[in-house]
Amino acid sequence: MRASQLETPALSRHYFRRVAWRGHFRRESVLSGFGLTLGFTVFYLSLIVLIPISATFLKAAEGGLASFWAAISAPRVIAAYRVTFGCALVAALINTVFGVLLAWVLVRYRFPGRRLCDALIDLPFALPTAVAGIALAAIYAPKGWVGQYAAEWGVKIAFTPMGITIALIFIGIPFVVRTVQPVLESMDFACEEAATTLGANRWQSFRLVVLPALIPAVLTGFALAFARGIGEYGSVIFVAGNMPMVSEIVPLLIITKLEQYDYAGATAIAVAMLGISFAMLLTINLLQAWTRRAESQR
Amino acid sequence: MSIRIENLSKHFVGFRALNNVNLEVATGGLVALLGPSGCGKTTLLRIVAGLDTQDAGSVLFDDEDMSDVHARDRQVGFVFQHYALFKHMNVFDNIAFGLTVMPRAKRPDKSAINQKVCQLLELVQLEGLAHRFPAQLSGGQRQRVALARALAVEPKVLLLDEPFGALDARVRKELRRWLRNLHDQLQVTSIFVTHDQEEALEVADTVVVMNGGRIEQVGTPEDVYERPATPFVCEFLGDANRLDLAVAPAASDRSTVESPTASAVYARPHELDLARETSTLGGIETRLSTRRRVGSVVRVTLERADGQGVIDAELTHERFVSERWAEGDRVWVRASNPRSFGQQLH
Repeated sequence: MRASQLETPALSRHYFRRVAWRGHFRRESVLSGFGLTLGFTVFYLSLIVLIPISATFLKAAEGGLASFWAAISAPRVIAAYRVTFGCALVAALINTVFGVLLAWVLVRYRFPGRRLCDALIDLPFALPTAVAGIALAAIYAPKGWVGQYAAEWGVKIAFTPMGITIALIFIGIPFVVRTVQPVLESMDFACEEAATTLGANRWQSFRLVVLPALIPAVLTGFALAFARGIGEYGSVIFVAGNMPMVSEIVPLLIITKLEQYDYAGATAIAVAMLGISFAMLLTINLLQAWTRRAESQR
Repeated sequence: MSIRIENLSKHFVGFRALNNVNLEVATGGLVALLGPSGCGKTTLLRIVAGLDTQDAGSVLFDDEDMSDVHARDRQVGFVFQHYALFKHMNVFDNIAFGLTVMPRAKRPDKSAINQKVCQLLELVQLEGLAHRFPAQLSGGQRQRVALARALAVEPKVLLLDEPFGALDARVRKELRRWLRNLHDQLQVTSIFVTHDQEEALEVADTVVVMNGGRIEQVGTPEDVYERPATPFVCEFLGDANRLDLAVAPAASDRSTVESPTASAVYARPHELDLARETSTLGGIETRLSTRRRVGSVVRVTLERADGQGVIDAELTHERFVSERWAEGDRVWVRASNPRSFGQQLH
């Protein structure tokens, strides 16, 4: 008894010194393999993400600042930015509204064919984008199933930014549905019942009780759909018409430059895209962090 | 506001949750719906609140049929087992919710809401926590917020679904007493659901014991404990031993009302006489097999000599020591206050 009492302080002092030394990097934990897994993570990220991106930057810097600026600010390129980001934004916004609606219906109601609908949501994930592009072009072209009726009204869908937006809606919808769905599923029904017994009508209980809990997931879904829309190439080029200044997207412009062996110009535009995309995702992430903090910690 | 439940029935798929239930709750009453899980007590409460709909029968508030009245118009306060607080709102906004969603014409102005919420915070003893969020509160505090939120709209009926079910034993006991006091203060007609018999006996004016979608007995806590109407009530409220028919009736004149062969006899563990020798009054021969001290009492297990199972008895620690009981002793057991039921009831 006495012996152990004497020993304890010395033992613990030694122990604490050891922990303090290691504690700079990590907390003492029963989970082993920290060093190995961290090392692998850094290596893997470098290989897959950092090296290609830095290569892009290096290549873009080859021509010097003046030609870099000229490459990224040409009127045709500016127009392409506008088409890409504009269409992606509109598509993501539309997807956000209808994606939440779809998720809501799939989670809250039981109806025949629900499982089939649920499976169909994943189709844009699985379908090769070129297939989607050809299908959409066939439907929305002036002579297509839908396009011919639109043409009667004087509306041209395919080969315009509207066509691009439709393609991006198709591509982006699963991102919103699949991020919102699990959150809706795990939501406690009792909160809405509580709101009802307190006299809230359906709209009030949705707006005041359900929606605030959904917002982080909705933002994530929006960000994913938007990012996917910016990068989408395969399905868009078939339905876009690719007219310079009107319906030409940035990824296509990059391909065009590459085909002309203008590697510096292509990478310059790529870097600009990277910068803008990064800034937008950062904004959305900050917004998310903010709502999440508001949600949980406050 | 009084509540009357008439011939209420409810089926779920392949399962009869409520079977022709009739119940009356007087204005200002505090009623406990008590029963094992799956007995239909929560379903009954939810139908009264309008959160579920009955298949048949009706719920009347002050003789007015509520069947076609939506839950949001019934003016009931409902408290959920897991609080169901709005996580993204602070305590103040949670409590004010019922007032802020009122139609503009009826809605009190900001300062009136403010005042009302402060009053309620005081009532539930949570002054100073108005700007906390539910995640920052303990379970007991959360349930008090939920109660304040339900009371904010001045409900005519307060319904509580296992209000203390998710809390630890100590907090539960504390809140029980507090709820009892609160009810005495507010006098709002209240029904609460519980599977904890101690809670029901301690808090309620009237205990409704339910089993298998039916009401077994309605009565004061004393009634249901001392004069159980059915074997189920006897077994569910407190512990009970089922004794041998041939021996026990001799102990009390009450049991002789029915012929011994047609009745089941129950005795509570603390209502058993233990003796070292058989007396003229008879008894059951047993052997004291195990003993466990629980606080001020000692619980003993008595193995019957005729091999018909065991009897649980309870005696004060004082008595256990002074009578020098020990494991392995031969014990003659006699019920001092047995309860018998006709066989057809069981």
